[in-house]
Amino acid sequence: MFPWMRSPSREARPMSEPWALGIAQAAKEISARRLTPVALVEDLLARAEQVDRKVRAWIRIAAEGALADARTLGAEAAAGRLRGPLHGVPIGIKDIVDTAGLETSAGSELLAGNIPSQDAPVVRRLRDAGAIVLGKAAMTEFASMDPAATRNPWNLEHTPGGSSSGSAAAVAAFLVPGTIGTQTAGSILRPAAYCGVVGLKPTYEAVERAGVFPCAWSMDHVGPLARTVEDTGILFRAMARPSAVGEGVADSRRLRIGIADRYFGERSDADTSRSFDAVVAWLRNAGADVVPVRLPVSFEAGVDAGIVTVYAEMASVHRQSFAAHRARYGWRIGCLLDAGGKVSATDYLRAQQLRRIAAADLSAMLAGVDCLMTSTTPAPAPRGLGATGDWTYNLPFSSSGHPSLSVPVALSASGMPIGVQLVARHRGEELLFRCGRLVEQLVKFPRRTPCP
Amino acid sequence: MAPPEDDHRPPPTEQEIAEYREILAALMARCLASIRNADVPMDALPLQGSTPDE
Repeated sequence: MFPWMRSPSREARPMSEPWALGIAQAAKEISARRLTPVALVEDLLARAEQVDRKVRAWIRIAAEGALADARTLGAEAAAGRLRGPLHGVPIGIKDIVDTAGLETSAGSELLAGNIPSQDAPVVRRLRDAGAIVLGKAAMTEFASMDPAATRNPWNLEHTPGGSSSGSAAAVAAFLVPGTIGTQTAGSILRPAAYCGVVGLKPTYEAVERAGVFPCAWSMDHVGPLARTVEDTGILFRAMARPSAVGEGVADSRRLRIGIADRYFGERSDADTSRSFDAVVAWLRNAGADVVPVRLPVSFEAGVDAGIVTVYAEMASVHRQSFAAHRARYGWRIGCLLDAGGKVSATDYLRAQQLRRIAAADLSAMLAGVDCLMTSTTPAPAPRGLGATGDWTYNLPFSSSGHPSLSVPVALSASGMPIGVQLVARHRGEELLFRCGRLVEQLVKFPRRTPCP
Repeated sequence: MAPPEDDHRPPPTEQEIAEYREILAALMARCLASIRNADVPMDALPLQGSTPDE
């Protein structure tokens, strides 16, 4: 037992305020007519007024549109008509995803004033399930390395991570019960871990990327963030292509969890290593079959191929715009685009060949376990707002396309969240949710709001 | 909405930018060397597409 884990003083106090409800709870209250969508939206707007001037998770709040949608959905609920599992539940959308009539700027001044005429398909699916778009979450410029103004709700002097900075911070600060983020290297799982929330990077292409401004198209993933595994699952099933949603996995299933023989853990600090070891011990005590697994020989080459791919594809996406508007790009993405523009065609193609080999080898390894478990990041969120942290534990699965889930498990000695990353075979999201629920039940991570 | 509190981050210095360029260049050089020298059989590989689907 570690002093920062399972400490009763960190347990959530009972919270009855609407803003404190998770997705499943809010949907249940609305369907039972004990809460109206309008009351929930108004409460979250009031909380944003109180909290977001410090956290700065929202780049844009759609108060008027959200209240109008809430009135419509409230009337439907009162008449007993529910659109789906998110009926009347407010969500946040990363500023890189198109929302009809609501500015979408991808964190860049170059796209300021860009108002899409229609929703991205992923947003449309969420609205069809009854969700209300409360606002656009702040992000790093073009999902790269120039930070947003967002701060970590657990300590305002620390980065929330990126690029889905606002998506993670908004959920952690109880500004909204769930959000949509995107990941190309580690942009969902890293901020989720840094902010103490749950984040899912689904299988590549499980969620449509149309209407999402590209970062590096062959590694871009769209996924949900929420405060519990259950809520994350509800969002995923609503936003994914129907063919990508698998059958649930029974809680009675004995789980076989692999622990990698190298790479992960090599950079981890003491708090991260200790909390990871504690989770392993708790899983064993709970009856899980925790086994060592050997990462494929091609693993590191696959990671390096992924890095080359991100650089080259980003340079390709921005080639014309960067040539014309170089001074309007952030300095970090400018350096990256310069470097990516130098990757040759033959190196890019070799990188794609290696990614395919590494992904196939990883699939073979993952076929022998229900999931692989690693720390989500080598260390908790670093102090400072000038950089967004380390994605090295997340990029391998952005490169291979395997689904990965971050679950918060501990607080460091300095009070910052630490997460574990679960990885499953392609289309194995339900396995991840099963593993994640078990970890969540064992760890009992504090659900209190970390905000002042 | 209340006005956000100011963000007081200073602009980067020339040295900071130069150091970042060096870090990126070193990372890219290492990755390119890695993929060029990877001891992985490259024959009989499908070249169409670039996605890591199964």
